[in-house]
Amino acid sequence: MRNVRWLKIPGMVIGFTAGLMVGALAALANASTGYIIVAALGLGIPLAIFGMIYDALLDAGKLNFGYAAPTALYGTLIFPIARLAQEILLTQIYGQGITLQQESGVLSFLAYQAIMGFGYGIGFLMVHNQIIELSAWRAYRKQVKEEGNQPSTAEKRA
Amino acid sequence: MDTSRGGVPRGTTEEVKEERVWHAGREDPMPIRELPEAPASLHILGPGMLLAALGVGLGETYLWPRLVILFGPDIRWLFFIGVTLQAVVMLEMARWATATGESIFFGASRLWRPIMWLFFAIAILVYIWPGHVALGAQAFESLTGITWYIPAIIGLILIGVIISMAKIVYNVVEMILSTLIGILVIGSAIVAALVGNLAFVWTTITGLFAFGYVPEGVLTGPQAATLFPLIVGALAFAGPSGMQQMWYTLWLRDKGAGMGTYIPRIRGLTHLEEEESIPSRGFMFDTEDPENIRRWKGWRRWVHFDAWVLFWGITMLTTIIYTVLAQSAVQIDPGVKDAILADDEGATLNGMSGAFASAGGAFMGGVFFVFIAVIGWKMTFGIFDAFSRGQADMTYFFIRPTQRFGFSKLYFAFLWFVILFGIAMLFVTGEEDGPAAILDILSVLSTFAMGAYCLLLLGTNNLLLPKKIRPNIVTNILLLFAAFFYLGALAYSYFAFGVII
Repeated sequence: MRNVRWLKIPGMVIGFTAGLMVGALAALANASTGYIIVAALGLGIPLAIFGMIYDALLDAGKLNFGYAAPTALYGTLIFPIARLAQEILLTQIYGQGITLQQESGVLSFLAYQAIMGFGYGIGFLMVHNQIIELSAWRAYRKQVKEEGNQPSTAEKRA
Repeated sequence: MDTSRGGVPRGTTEEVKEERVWHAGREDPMPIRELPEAPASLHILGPGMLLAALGVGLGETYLWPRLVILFGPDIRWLFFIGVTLQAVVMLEMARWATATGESIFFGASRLWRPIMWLFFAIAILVYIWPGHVALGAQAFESLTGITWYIPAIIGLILIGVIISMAKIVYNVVEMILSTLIGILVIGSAIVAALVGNLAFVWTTITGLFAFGYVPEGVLTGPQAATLFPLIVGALAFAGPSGMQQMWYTLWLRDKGAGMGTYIPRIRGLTHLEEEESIPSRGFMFDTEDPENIRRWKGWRRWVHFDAWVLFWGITMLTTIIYTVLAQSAVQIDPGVKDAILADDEGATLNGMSGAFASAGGAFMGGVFFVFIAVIGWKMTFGIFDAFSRGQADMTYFFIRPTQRFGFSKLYFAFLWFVILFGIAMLFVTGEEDGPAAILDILSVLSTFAMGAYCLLLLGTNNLLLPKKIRPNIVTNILLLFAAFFYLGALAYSYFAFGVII
C-alpha cells in the first residue's frame, strides 16, 4: 500500500482516460496517427497530473472526499489550463489547434473552457467516488485515515 | 402533533398497548420511532444523483437538442420550468419517504388503495418494453455493424446477472449509474469543449430565461398539429419522466434516508439468506419533540442539496452542454433544421447523428451513437431496477400471501420477468417498443402519471403527515401548477389538435 500511495491512481486514471477520449474522437474523424497521439496526450497528461494533485489534496485534508462544489470549482480551474496546453502543443506541431483560433481571444477561450471544466469536475467526482468506493481503495483510505493524514473524511452511509 | 379526528384520511396519534402510533389514512398505523441523525455533511451524494443519472437520458441528449435545432435556444425556458418543477416534486417525494420510510405507492394506498393499483397498472403498461436498450443497440449497430438485437439481448442478460450477483442491490445500481453518468458528463463536456464557443453558452443561458417565447407556427398554422405535441412530449422528458420520481422514494428508503433506516434493504440473489424480515408499514417520528424536529431539519437540508445541487444542477449542466452542441450543428449546416422537419419521424437517430456530424465532422456523428448506446443501456438498467422495486413493493405489502416469498425474491421475480419478456419481444416480434398501435397510449400514460403524482403528493403530504412537517402554501401552489402543467398540456394537445403525444 505504502508504495502506491504517492501514485494517486484514481484521479490520474480518470484524467488520462479523458485525454484518451479526445484521441478516440480524433481517430473517428480520420486524423493522422501523429495528430491522434498528440491530441490525446496533450490533454491526457495535464489532466492526469491534475488528477494526481486532486488525490494529493484529498490525502492532505485540503479537500474533502465526495464534496461536489469544491471538485466542480477544481475542474473549472484546471480544465482550461489543460485545454490551453493541448491547443498550444497542437499549434506548435501542426500549425493549428482545435478551437483556439475560432474564439475571439485567449480569454474567451479560457472562459468557455472553464464552463466546460465545471462539467468535467462534476463527472470527475462521480467516477472518482465510485473508484474510491471499491473495496481496495476503501481499505486504503481507511488506512490513511487511521494514520491521521485524513482528518475529515465524509463516509457514505453504508 | 395533530390529534384531531374525523374525516378519512386524517392523521392522529394515540397510545395503543403502550406503543405510540400515528394514524395516517386507511392502512396500518405507523409506530413512533426516533428519527435518526441526518448525515453531518450535505455533500454526501444521495439518491438525487441516481435520479439525475436516470433522468439524464433521451430527453436531454436527443429530444431537446432537436427542439433547439428547430426553434432555437429560446425554447429552453420550457425546459427550465419543467426541471424546476421536477425538483419541487422531488423534494415532496422525499418529504413523504424520509418522514415515513414508506414508498409513495404505500402513501397512495393510505389515501385510497385503487390509486396505488392504478400506478401499478401504468408501470406495467409503460415500462415492460425494452425500447431503450433496443435504441441503444441500434446506435451500437451503426457504430460496429453488429446486428442490433445481439447487443440488445446481451445487454438485457447483463442487467439481470449484475443485479443478481449484488450483495445489496441499491449499492450496485448506484455504482453503475453514477459511473456511467459520470463518464457521459465528462465525455459531453470534452466534446462540447472541442466544438463549441463562448457565444453559444451565452445564447443557451439567455434561452433558459426567455420566458413566454412561443415559436411561430406552434399554436396555429398548418404544422401546429405536428409541432405542439412535439413540445408537450419533450416537456414530459425534461428531467425524470413518467414514474421515475415515484421510484426515487424507494431508493431513498434503501439508502436509509430518514425513517427509511428502519426498513431492511433488497439483497442480491446470492445473499438472500441474509434477508431481514420487513415490517408491514412505515414509521413516524414524534414531531412534538424538539430534538426530532432538529434532525428533521437536517434531513430537509440534505434533501434540498440532493434536489437542487445534484439533480437540478447536473441536469441543467448536461442540458447546457447539449444545447451548445445543437447550436453548433445549426450554425455549421443550416440545412439540418429542414432535414429534421422533412423527416417523417423527425426523431430518427440517423437524423440527429447527421446533425452532429455536420457540426464536428464524421467523428461527432460517431460520438452521438456512442452516447446513445450508453444511455440506452443505462436507462434500461435503471428503469428495470426501479420498476421491479416498485412492483415488488406494491405486491409485497398489498398481496399478503406473497409475503412468504420475501421482498427480495419478489423483486427478482419482477426483474427477470421484464428481462425475459424483453428478450421474447425482441426475438418473437422484432419490435422493441411493443405493438405500434398502443405506443401513443403509453406515452400519454407516462405524462398522465406525472400530473397524477403531483395531485397524489398534495394528498399524502397535506392529509397524512403531522401538521408540523407538512409542505407550505408555496410548495402546494407549485404542485398544483405542475399538475395543471402536465395534465393541461396533455388535454390541450388532445382537444385542440386531436392528437396525443
